[in-house]
Amino acid sequence: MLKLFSLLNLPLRRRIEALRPRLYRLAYSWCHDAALADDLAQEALIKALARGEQLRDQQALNGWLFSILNNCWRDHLRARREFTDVDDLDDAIVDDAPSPEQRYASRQTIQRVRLAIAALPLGQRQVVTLVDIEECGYAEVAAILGVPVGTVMSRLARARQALRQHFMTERTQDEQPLAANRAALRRVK
Amino acid sequence: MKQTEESLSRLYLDAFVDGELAAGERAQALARLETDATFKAEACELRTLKERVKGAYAEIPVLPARAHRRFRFGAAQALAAGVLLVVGIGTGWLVRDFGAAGPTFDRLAGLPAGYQAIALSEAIDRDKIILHLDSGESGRLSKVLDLADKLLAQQPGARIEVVVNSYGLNLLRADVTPLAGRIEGMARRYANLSFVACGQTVARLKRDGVKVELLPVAHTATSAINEIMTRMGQGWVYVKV
Repeated sequence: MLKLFSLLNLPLRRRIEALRPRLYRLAYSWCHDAALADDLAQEALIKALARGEQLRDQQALNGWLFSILNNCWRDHLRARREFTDVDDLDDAIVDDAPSPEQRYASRQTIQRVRLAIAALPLGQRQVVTLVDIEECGYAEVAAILGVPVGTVMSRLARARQALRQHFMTERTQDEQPLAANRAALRRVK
Repeated sequence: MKQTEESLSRLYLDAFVDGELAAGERAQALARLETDATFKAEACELRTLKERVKGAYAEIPVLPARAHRRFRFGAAQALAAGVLLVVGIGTGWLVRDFGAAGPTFDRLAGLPAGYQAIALSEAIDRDKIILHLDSGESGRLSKVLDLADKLLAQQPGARIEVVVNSYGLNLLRADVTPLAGRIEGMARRYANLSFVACGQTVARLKRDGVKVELLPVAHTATSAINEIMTRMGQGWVYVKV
């Protein structure tokens, strides 16, 4: 069937476009690769503009766009990692480790936090970034990721516990060689 | 048991700091802050943790990204595509469903069920079609060629451009594609069929140290998105494979 980017009134299009920086930021917090984050944000934006008429409640625009971004991200990961099981995706720790230069820069606080986030399993990473960066409610996150609210809460708790431990370990082993961090970022099943 | 209590306590603390508690519970938690020093310290620590996460992404790399790459490659076409994208998105892609335009336009000849064709405006050329592939699955690689064959059988005069990016690039990588012979054969057979690789994907692979050698019949565009948006702006129909 031939279909046009359709029925999108101008204000809605503008609202969708205005969310591009947030899509990019969120995508970056998931993949820590600026070029990929840009591609993901762009792809989500194009899909949103093409599917605008599917949006029933314009108040839910942010969540709807984030959920499209989530699908783009998962499609990318499936293509890249050949995951077939969504549970595998959620639990996977993907080696999104920064380059050696970036690891050196990770002495800086911001890089340290990003490194810790990058080390989280994907499911936890998405939940904690949606809650803390985008300030989404638990129910909203559940709808975006298509998981039960209980799962959102448990992933969030585990993510935060992991972050606490990460920072605690960091404080006590501050002078450990950076290679130690590398091992923590290897993908595990 | 102790672990369960701890977990529940963590969930409660998370819900409180994230503003997820109901009004009554929240009032109780606020009162507890005054009397329970441990709870207060934990809430404080969690707020700090939240701020650290948020703060880590307050400033992120500024799209090295699309704008930079466009100009680095320097093609006027890329600039035109960028302008088109902005103008297209910003000022209004057509505002009605194509299905409502009548039966003349509601099918793309030769397009099998399961595919959706998308156009940017009403002024389309139904015989100019982009087939976009971004997956490296072997089934999809041959599917895009099957589809091109089918469309060209139905519309021998149609112009078809196969645009690949991401893992879809495998289709056109000389050392990777399982379909080199078929692609070259099709390119010889159909003068109106072209194959375009995404320059961004090629650049990214090269940056990662991957040697990228494309089939001789492949052209390279600045990026797949630019190519698609440019073509759609020219009235081409887009089909994702």
